[in-house]
Parts: sequence; structure tokens; C-alpha cells
Amino acid sequence: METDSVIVLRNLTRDYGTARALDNINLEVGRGEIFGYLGANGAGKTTTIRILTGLLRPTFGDAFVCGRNIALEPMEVKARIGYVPESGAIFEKLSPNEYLTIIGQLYKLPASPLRDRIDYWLRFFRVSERADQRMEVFSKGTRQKICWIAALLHEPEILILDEPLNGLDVETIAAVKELMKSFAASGRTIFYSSHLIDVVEKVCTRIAILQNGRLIGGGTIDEVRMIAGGASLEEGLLRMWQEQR
Amino acid sequence: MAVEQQVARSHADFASTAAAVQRDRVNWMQVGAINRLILKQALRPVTASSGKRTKPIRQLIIVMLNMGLMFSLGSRATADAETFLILLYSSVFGLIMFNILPDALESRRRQVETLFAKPISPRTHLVARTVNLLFITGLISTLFSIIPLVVATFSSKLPLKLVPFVYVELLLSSFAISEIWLIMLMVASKWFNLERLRMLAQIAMMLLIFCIVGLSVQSMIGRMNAVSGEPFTLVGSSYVRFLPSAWFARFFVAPSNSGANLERAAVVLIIGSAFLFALTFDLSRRFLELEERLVAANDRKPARNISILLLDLVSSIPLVGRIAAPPQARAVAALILTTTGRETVSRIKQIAPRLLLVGFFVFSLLSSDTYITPNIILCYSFMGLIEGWQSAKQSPQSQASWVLLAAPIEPRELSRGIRLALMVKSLSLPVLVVVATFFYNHSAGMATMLTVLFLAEARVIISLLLLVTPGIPLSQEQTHTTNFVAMLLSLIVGVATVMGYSVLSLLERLLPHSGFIAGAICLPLLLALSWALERAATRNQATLEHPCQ
Repeated sequence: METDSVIVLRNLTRDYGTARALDNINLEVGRGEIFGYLGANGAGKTTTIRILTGLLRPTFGDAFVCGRNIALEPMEVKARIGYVPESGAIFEKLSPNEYLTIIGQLYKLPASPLRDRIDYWLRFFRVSERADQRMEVFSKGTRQKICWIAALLHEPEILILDEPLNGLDVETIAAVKELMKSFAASGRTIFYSSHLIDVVEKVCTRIAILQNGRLIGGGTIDEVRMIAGGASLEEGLLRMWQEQR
Repeated sequence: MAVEQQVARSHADFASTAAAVQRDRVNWMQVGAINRLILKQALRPVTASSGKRTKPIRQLIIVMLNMGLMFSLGSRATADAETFLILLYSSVFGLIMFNILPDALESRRRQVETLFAKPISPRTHLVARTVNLLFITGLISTLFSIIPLVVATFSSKLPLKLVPFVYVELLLSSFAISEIWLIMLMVASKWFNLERLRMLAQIAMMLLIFCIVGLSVQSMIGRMNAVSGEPFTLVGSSYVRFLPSAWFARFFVAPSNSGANLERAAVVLIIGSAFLFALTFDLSRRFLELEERLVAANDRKPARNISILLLDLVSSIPLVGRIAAPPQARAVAALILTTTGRETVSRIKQIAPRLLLVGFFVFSLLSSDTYITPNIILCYSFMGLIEGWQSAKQSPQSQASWVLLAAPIEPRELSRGIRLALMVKSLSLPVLVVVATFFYNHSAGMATMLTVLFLAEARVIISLLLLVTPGIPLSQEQTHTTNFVAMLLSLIVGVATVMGYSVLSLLERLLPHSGFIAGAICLPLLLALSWALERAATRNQATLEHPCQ
């Protein structure tokens, strides 16, 4: 697929039994963008993300990442993606060191840089001193930090984030926002799904709005604000959702 | 959700009166709501990564009825009602102890988050738990015992007039045994590590079952070797008299003498104390303490388990290590082994086949039996393997398995990782026991051939499991019950193994080297079958999705 876009969705559709979760989604995300993906609960954000990360297959349509079709070349796509899931689910019986080492091995990272990267990110997220404790004693926020580290270990080209700030403390949120900006500045891409409109407004370059499995709008923050006719992005989005209902 | 609302609504009623907040007041509406909530959580349908929805209640019914059917087939060899009942009670108690385990930490947390934040009196919690226990134990014991009781009545082994009394006693005793066990855990958890206590209780229970099964096999072997056709009996066995299950079994059938009356008194005492503890004694505080203790997590530095050390050993062998355990497959295996190795339900599920395996190995050495016990050892080895795969698919943190699909792992490497984990975890001990048994019973050449055939069959079974019951490792919600498909597979594999081993042994005995030659002919067929199944299983693995829960 010849395109400058890093993520391309073409007529993406997904059914769960008789229920249609995603309906004919078309969008493109360019290199170096922080792309906000917004929608109410059950709009289909997580389903889109699960298809992009290879956890689900589309019922119809295609998803391309870095020009490769996820359904046809899943390994090439997965190797380029880092994913922070909404659930923050990790294997709690393991320690961060054990878990992250296994994750690194799954991504075929050699032992030496893997150790260095684990140490670096553990320090960055301030969990070094808990690296050998079982994660079942960790708070939700600390688990979320481990998910972040797992997503960053293999230095992905694209970060796919599903409510990535869940449970994080203020200091970490600030650090993560800076991290996201520097990640995008280095030419890499972030696909960011969230309910936190104020964060989206501050960090995203472009957004798309989803409702009941369909895209109902999109553009830069200013464009959406103007189209929706709200003083702030939050007001605009609320107005847009209400009109659609 | 409706039940939760009901709990909340009843909570509002409850909170409105000052009297209701007294610690020892039971709110029966809350008891009903809590029970419905717990049962709905435990028995709700589960979606696997293959997309299939399984219904635990239907599985429980099918599995228990089938086990009851198998039990009634086996119990035809018993000579009298007393022996039949001893085996029935022991089996029911064993099943109850395996099925009534304290919940996994994750579901306990969910329960605590849902229920313990609401003003429900500790006694209401306790009574709700008791009613729930009574229902579950009643369900399991009824489903398991219904066929054996009917068959025993029709075959005139058990007088019809005794059946209702035996059934009621079975329900009461099942409840009493599980209640007393849980109370013991509650009290002991103050001083001892609860997870270890649960493990010890399970091991003790397994030894108890092994005693019963061992005695039965001993009687059957004796019957086959000496007095053919004579049914076996446990009446008068001095070992059996010490089993609590035997006291319950003999309650209605033993003659009236001082020993039997003492056992009857013990039965009444056990049932009476169980109900007394459940309904009268103030165990509410301990109950809450237990729940808190269960939820309190372990913050010790985790130790590497023996399976991981074995995996490291295999990986470190020059050349072989890289072929047998390539990095990604090794990582998948390490994840499965570490997670299941530290998870109590998975560990408990592995204990039964292992203990039985070692027990029968010792038994085969002592009894010099060359047919029955080697066959049993082979069957338990493969049953352990099948159970190992079922455990490897389950985890209390099943949602965390997304990582195995999101990472760039080829389906072939994922299958290799699963195979490696099963080989290390479920096959290392059986290989030792089976090889020793083969070399003990056969010539070196024949034993070597049988060992190679055993390993080839193990490979076929793993590929068959991945094909018939596909799944992403650690991706399913944990269940305490046995999977019906796994049971069916165990049965098929058991029959095929017994037939194969018996034919080869018999050939070798009748005509030296003929068993070896027959084995050499079978080996390429098994390898070809394994290769074909492996390819199909890998294709199947590529179509899996991460289950939405």
C-alpha cells in the first residue's frame, strides 16, 4: 500500500454476533501525529484498537499499519506497535523484572539492551525499587506504569493507547504527556483513545469522533471546535453527540 | 446488575432501622441476593479465544453425571453395600474438596469490592456463604451419586428403603465436610499461610482418595491373579476403619456393635458441629478476617520454581537447547510455567495426577504386577498432560493474555512454547516414572522402544489437544471443574494406550522381539500423525482472537 499515512483504515467493520460494533470506518493517520480517537462508552474505540493490535480480526474491510495489512502480515505490524490496553491487565503473579523480561523476549530483544531498557524505564516511571515484588500488591496506577514500560521496551514506531492515563498520579501524567510529545516529535505516531477531553485537547494534533460504531467527524482540534460550535472541545463534542442522537 | 441493585436496595432497607445494624442480625433478603450474585458470577457463560461460549453449569452437570456413570461401572466389582458406600462417600468427599476451593484472588477482590463496601452484617455474610455452600455441595453430590445410587438399587446391592436415608446423609455429610474444612482454614489462617494450608488440605485429601483407589486396585489385582470372578470387599479392612468417609458409609449398613455405634456417634457429632458452627457460633468476625486475609496479597520476593529451572537447563544444552527452546517459544513457556506455578488452583489441579502416578508406581514395584499398574501409570501420565493443557489455558488474570496475541509471535512459535511448557511441567515426572516402569518390566530393547513410543504418543496428544481444544495460553477464566472435552479425550487416549501397550507386551511375551518390531512399525505412523496434527493445530492457532470478557 503506497501512502504517507502510517495507519489507514478502509471500510473497517466488525460484528459481534448480530451486533455491529464498527461500521465502515475510514481514516488515515500520518507520521509524527498524536491522533485522538474519541467516542462515548461502547462507541467502538476499543474494538478499533483491538483490530489494529491484532487481537481481533475485522469482519469486513482492511487495516493497514506502515503500509502493511494487519490481516495478511500480522507479525510485521505487531513488531512496530506498542500497546497500552484500557484494562491495564498484567500477570500479577510475576514481578516487573520477570514480566518485562518475558515481554522483551517475545519481541525478540537481545538480553543486554533488554536489561538496560528495563532499568531505564523502571527508573523513568519510578518503580525501580519494586522491580522484584509480585505485581499483585501493586496499585492500579503502578500496574498501568508496567503496561507503559511493556509497550515502550521494543522502541515501537507506533504507540496505540487505550485510556493510558487510568490510575496514574499527577506527576506521572505530566511525565507521560511530555513523553508522548517527544515520541511524536521524533517522527513516530500515537493513536490515542481517551475520555479525558482536556488531555486530548492539549496533546493531540488531530482527532476523530466515533459514535455507535460510525465516524461522525474529525479534523484538527480547532476545526472540530469550530464545526461543533463550542467554546471548548468538550462543549463542541457534547453538542455534536447530542445532535447525532 | 439487577442483583447488585437488589443488594443495594435491601441495604437501604437494612440501614434504615437501627436494630438492623446489629452485628448478629441476619437479613434473609440480602442472603438471597448475595447467593444469586455469587452463583451468577460463578456459573455465567465464558467465551474462549476460539469464539466458543462454554456454560459452566452444563459442564458441571455433564462431567458429574459422567463421573457417576464411570463410578457405577467400576463399583459393579464391589461385593456388598458397605464397600459400595465407602467408595461412594470417599469419591463424593474427594470431589467436594476439589470443587469447593476458596475463590481465586481476583474474584475474591471483585466480591469484596461489590459486597463488603455495603452495610451487610457479618452474620448475613456468613449465613449467605453457608447457604451457598449447602447448595453447591448438594448439587455436586446429587449429580455424582444419582446414577450409582439408582444402579446399586436396581442391582439389589442397596435396599430401596435405604436409598432416601443414604441420599439425605450424603447431602448433610458433604455440607459438613466442606463446612468443617473451611472453618479449619478460617481458624488456622490466623497462624499459617493460607495458600499453603489449602495445598496441604488438598494433598491430604488426595492421599485419602489414593488409599481408597489403591485398595480397590489391590483387591482387583488379587481377584485377577488368584480368585477370578470374586467381587472385592473393604469390610473388615483395618485401614478403612480410620477413614471418616467409612464412618458415614457404614452409618445405616453396619451391624449394631460398640465400634459401629462409636462411628455413628462421630458422624452425628461431625454433622451437628458443622451446622452448629455455621448457624450458632459467632464466626462472623473470623469470617471477615478470613476474607481480609484472602485479599491481603503476598509481597515476598518471588522464587523461581523448579519447572523454570528445568526449562533453563533444557535451553542451556548446546545445539539441542536452541532447537528445543528457541527464544520466543521459551518466553511463552516461561510465562505459562511461572504464572501457573504460582497460582494455587493450577497447582492443585496438577497434584492429583502426580500423586496418583507416584502412588501407582510404588504400588507396581511392591505388587510385581506387570499389566494393570503399568497401564494405569501410562493413563495417569497422559491424563496429567491433558489436565496440564486445561490449566495452562486458564488464569485468574485471563485478560492479561492480550500480550500473547499483541506480540509478534508466529502461531508456530506459540504452539512450540505451549508444547515446551507442557513437556516440562506435565511430562517430566511421568517420563521418569514411565521409563523406570518400562525398564523394570521389560528387556532393555523393548523398554527403549516403549519409551520412544510413549514420547511420540505424548507429542501426538499435545498436537491433538491444540487442534481439538485450541486456545491462547492463560486466556480463559479459571474454573474448578473438569472440562468435558478433556475428560472425553482422556478416555479415548486411555483406551488407545491400554490397547497399544497390552498388545505390544503380549506380542513380546509370546514371541521375543515381535513386540519391538511391531513398535518400530507403529513409530513412523505416530510421528506422521503428530506432524499432520501439528500443522493443522498451528493453522487453527492462527485464527484465534483474544476473548472479550
